[in-house]
Amino acid sequence: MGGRFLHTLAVSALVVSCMGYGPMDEERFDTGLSDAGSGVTGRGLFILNEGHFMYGDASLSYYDTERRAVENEVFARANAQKLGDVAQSMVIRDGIGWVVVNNSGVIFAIDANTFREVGRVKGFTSPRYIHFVSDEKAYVTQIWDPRICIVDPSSFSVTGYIETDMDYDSGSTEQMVGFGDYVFTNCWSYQNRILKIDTRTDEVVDELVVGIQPASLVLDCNGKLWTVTDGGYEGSPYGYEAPSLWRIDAETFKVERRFDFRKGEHPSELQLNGAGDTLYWINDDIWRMEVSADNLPVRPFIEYSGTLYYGLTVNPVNGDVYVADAIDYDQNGTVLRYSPDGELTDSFTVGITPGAFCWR
Amino acid sequence: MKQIIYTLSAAMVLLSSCNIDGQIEELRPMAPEIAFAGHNAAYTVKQGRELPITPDYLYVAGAIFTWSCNGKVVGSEPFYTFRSEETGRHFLNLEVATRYGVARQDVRIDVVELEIPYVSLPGSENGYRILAGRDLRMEPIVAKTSVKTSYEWSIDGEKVSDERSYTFAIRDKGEYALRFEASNEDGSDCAEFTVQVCTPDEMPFSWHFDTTVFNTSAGRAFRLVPQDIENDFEVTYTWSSGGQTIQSGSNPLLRILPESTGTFSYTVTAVSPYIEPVSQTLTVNVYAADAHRRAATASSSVLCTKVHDFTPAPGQFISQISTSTDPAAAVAAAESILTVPENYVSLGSFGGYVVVGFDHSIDNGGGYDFAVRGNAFDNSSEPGIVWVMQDENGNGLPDDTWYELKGSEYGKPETIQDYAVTYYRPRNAQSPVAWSDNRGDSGMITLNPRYPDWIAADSYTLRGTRLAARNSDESGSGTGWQNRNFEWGYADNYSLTDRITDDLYNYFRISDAVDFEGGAVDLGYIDFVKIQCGINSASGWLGEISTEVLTVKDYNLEKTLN
Repeated sequence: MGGRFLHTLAVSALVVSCMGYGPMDEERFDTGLSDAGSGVTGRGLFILNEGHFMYGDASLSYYDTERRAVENEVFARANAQKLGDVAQSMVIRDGIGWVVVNNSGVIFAIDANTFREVGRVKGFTSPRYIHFVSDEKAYVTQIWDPRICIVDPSSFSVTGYIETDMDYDSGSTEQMVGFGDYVFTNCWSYQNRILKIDTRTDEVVDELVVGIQPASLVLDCNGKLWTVTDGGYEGSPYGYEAPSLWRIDAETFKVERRFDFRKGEHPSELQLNGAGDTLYWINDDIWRMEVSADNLPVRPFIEYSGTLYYGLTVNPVNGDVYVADAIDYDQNGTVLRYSPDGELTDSFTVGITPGAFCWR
Repeated sequence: MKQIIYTLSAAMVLLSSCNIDGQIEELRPMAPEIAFAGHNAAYTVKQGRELPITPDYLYVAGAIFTWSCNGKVVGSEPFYTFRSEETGRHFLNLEVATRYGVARQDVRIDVVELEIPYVSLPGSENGYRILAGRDLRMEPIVAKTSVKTSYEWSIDGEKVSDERSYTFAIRDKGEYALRFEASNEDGSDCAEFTVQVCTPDEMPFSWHFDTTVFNTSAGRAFRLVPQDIENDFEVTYTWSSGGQTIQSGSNPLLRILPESTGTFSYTVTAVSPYIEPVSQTLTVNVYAADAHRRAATASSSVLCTKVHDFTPAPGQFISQISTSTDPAAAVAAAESILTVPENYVSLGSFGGYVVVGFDHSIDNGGGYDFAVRGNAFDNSSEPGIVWVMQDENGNGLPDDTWYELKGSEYGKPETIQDYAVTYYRPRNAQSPVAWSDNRGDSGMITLNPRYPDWIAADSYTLRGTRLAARNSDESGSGTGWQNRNFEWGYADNYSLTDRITDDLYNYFRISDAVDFEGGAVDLGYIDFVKIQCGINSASGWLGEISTEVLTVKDYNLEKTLN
């Protein structure tokens, strides 16, 4: 099946030995979406599989939503090298996929059509997410490092830093969204803030305190930021409280609404649909809520059934919902595909601990 | 109820109005509305408890209220009292209908278990016997609950303390009935047992032998020693063999250095002014050294091919390996993991071990001979002591003599040989696991520990060599735990010496094998390797220090293939 949708041509074997896994052949791929550029077609979905922490077995999968076919280990197969340790996030810009490999401290730039590496950025402490401000500038957030890196994508180099007032033990910046001349980022690990960065000066110009450990950040169709906190954990020196969902007006940078979960719940992976009018998140089950809702929903959209939901995304074009089941964080995970009505329509096996997605 | 009265009376009219800029808008009919002030119609209640659900309403004059559960109507009042013994998620549907419309609202109720403060006091099951004049400190483990728990100790029905811990200090000889109760609003639990204050002659002498048959080789120093000796007041141990007394005194350990092969019988007798003589006969089979070497062939596996024993200590990752109650299934699960180098078994807390074998003998080449793959990185070391065994009797089973491979900590004062920890099954799966050691210390494994499902006994003891822990919280706030590295000679340890390749393997020399006295043992080859967690400590939110093993490989054989 994979042979039909991806033209995988084994070429002259470039023998590479990496992490003791033995030699790998280099393959050629073609998603058939080479003219997509930065436009999101909803036809291709990258799945980032974290792998085991410290094992260097992160991987990248690619799923053709029309043919319902998946290819695993596409980075390794296209480049004859392993992806590294803990694949964290990915962004596509102008046909180039930027894959953040957290514990390897590297961001690979790959051709989103062929998966071949076209460059890499190094010099990070522990990169988490990349956000493009322009063709010449991107920000990279980090954990265990209070600085946000400024990257020049054209030269694949770190050109500077946005300083924050955090320290190295608990410094953490995570997801980013752009709004006008500003970029907002949530400070997650042992933090409780949203930072506002002026992209003209590359400086933090404001901050907003929310609950303990805001873990996700999205911007809806009404110009409202949404973040969900995880509340910390019992025994945490930073505190432990009920997690909560926050709505913040991006223009005024003020909190408008707060929805409390119950202590002990673990909401995460806040996502929006393509229209930006419906929120989705994981809290054991999969939940969804219109951005105009007055209350949290009480019935889940997709029920938990002994699964370990770890990643979530919504096809921005047709509203299909994709849920990554990490199963036990040990074996290869599964991605479950649901219709907008919550009907299971497909499932496929990917790599170990699938946790993030990127739409082509 | 107050809310309902207010909202009902406020909505006694069918028509509504609103005041905008001082002008009264035209009255118009309104459909009913349901609101749950302050939350989102989701409740949590304990099993068996009543939960009154009292929504707020608007425009409900003349309304019909319908509460239903799974399609069945369960109520027709504006409020509803929910109660269930069944834990889990329950949904109610509330429908409010008037001539002007219908409002519907889902209500979710999570029914959770009662938080009974379950009590366990390891060691109290058969009561205590203490020597007159000595104190007995007792620290029961009580399941953590979110509600306030109170305690009460009583002796012979009389309350003596309301603290959780208690020191029994009665000096008078006799038997006392003790009771410890923990109680909260959800229930109570207790431990009842006796304490006998005894004279030395009333204290039961006991000892233990893991096995009575031993296999060793000629020329290798060997020991016979009873284990877990208790109450050996003024005991004399007399060892005899072949009708001859060979040692007598207070030292229970017999050192032997067999010079010839054969089967030998040794009897140890314990006697004191307080006990009748008790004896145990042990058999020692002595074989020729290096007599059963299995040479590697072209088809031999570099990696270990068999797991003979897998006995972890309790730990947070035990259930990921096996949840079977069958020890053979647990061994099979471990074998499926360790015979490939990409996954690992966790050995749990101190003393947890795994024994692996190969399809050939690993030769002693004088340098690094074999390697154990772990998952250590800098300041994340969880060292495992490595033991080796030669199949001295040639039966293919690891029933011979283990020899420790000395590492950088061997012989240091802080390194404890013959350390033993006993783990106790918790009353319920969520509770901490209690332990006590043979040095009078005790504690609990608290971070989601799992008592191995395949260990049937309610307690078990693991013995080995303990290294001094090197873990600490560098941040001072609980966020920066480090498990610092050891110099060399341990599995799952970030050593700058014995990790000679960058692939997570620690390399070992058979020539580092030592006997129980620390003397070098000349092993021409080995057949079995045991890796055993060597630390008894925990690192905050990281949990217990637990050696992880991915596989074991024959480095000598690997070199011949490359």
